[in-house]
Amino acid sequence: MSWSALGGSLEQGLAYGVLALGVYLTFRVLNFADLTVEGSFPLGAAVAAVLIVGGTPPVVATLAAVALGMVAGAVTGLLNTKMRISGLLASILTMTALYSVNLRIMGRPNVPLLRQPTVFTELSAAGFDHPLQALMLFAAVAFGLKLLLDAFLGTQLGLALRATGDNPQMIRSFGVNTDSMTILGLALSNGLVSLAGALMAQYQGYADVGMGLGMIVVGLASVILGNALVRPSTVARGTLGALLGSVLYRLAIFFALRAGFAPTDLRIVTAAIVILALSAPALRESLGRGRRLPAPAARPARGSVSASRAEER
Amino acid sequence: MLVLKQLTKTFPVGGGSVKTAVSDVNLTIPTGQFVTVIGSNGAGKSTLLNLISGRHWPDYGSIELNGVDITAWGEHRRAAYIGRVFQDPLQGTAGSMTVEENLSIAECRGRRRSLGRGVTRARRERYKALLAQLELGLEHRLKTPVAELSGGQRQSLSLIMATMTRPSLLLLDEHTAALDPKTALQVLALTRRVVSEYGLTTLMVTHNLEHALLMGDRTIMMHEGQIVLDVAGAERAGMTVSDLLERFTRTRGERIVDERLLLG
Repeated sequence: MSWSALGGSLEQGLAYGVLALGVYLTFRVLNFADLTVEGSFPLGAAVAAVLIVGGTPPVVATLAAVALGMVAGAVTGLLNTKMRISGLLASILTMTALYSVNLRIMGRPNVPLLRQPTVFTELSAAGFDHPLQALMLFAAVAFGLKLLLDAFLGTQLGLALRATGDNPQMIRSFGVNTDSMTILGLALSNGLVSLAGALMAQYQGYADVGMGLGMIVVGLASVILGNALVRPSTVARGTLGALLGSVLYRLAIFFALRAGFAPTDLRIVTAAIVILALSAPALRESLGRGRRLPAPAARPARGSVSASRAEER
Repeated sequence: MLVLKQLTKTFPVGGGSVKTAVSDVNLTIPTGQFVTVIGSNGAGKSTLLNLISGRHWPDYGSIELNGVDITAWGEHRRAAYIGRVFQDPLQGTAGSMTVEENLSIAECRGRRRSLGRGVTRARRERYKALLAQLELGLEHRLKTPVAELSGGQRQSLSLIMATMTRPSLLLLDEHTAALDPKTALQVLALTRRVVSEYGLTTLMVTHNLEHALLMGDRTIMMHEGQIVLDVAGAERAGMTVSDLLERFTRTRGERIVDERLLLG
């Protein structure tokens, strides 16, 4: 029981890793607190589920979910840049509107996918039937998208996007329209989040209008946890951190449940994980201070260097 | 050539009244001329630069660059032709990105940004050669995040980034004011070298009267949104800081009370 549950945690960790990549893009790269995620995740699930039930091939349904997720992100971007609504509020408005949109799309709060084709049954039909099928698919998708995102953020366009999050005034002075960059970043991010929603719906066998609840915290927890582990000095390390953070978060939840926490306690466990990850640099520093030798030779010690770097940030 | 005609900008100051920051400014700068701009706080120097760069919209008047009316252009569109260095070294570069990534962003000024790699091997070699001329050792730190550089290094990099595509106009907004005196002189020397090498039309705002006379070939002084002094050529060549102050006092018929101006 515990092995398959552990495997399930890994699978979920990788699937939600795609969401974490999206959150990394807005939260870390674009420096934009985007709550659209809570609406675009169930949007992806709803679109994929409804299309699959209607007879659309699962892969096409999943791609359609990505496209609509990008539209949702672009709406938040337009509200923020063209209508000058603050990023946080713009994304809350899109998220709120998406709740109704998702209900309209599904026609009811829940669409089951029992005995329907999914990307998993397609894989089995194509001859790839393996106990680790879901794990391998999610790992391929998550790491494939990580590499794609790394490559994109190294292109001329990607550099302009990163600079928009870092220093909008500077990048405007080099002829870049920061409004377009913000919209592009939000669209890409929510496309990823929507993809995660579409995959999760097919994985768990249903789409539910409430499945977006708390998703932004899951995404943030993953990114923050990942960054505490892998110092995000480069984009490649940042995205790797987001994926590892997502897997680690699911494992933490798994062990919390095994340790006797009730499923209803998971929210406080999540909060505790995020607090721990956020305070890690400060904790490391205060621990390091007690141990630090008076001689300057103590400086290159691993802990103190990373702590002092974290302090600079 | 930059031509400003009747340029005017006011800001609301509350209570329904407005402050005129730039008032009916007419200015023509021929191509290749290096103009220094001085004036006390609130004289309208920075507003003038912001109007030219497109950060502010004028209430009235027009801006023409190389024969094209750019008055209605947005900031990012003008940026294709206008390079700018800010006072704060943090403003001109993206700190979380590496030196070579910043240079790549600058090299794409005004061009459509593609999905091609930002930093290619050919570009890296070019950046290395470009930075080697600065003699700041930056050519060995292409992969260092800009945030780890010193203020002077960062401002030198900003200057290189602003000028590497040889823009039609270079705006320097007190770009040495935040540096220590020694570093400021180094950055000024670099400024002079780059401007003369590329033959850039330049507008440099400074609080330092000595620098204003030391650099460039024409000096204008602003007061209450207007140009009150405009000297060039032989007249300017023989001028000292105290001459400049005296001329200003005579023109306005009043004393300058701004301490920063006097101390400069």
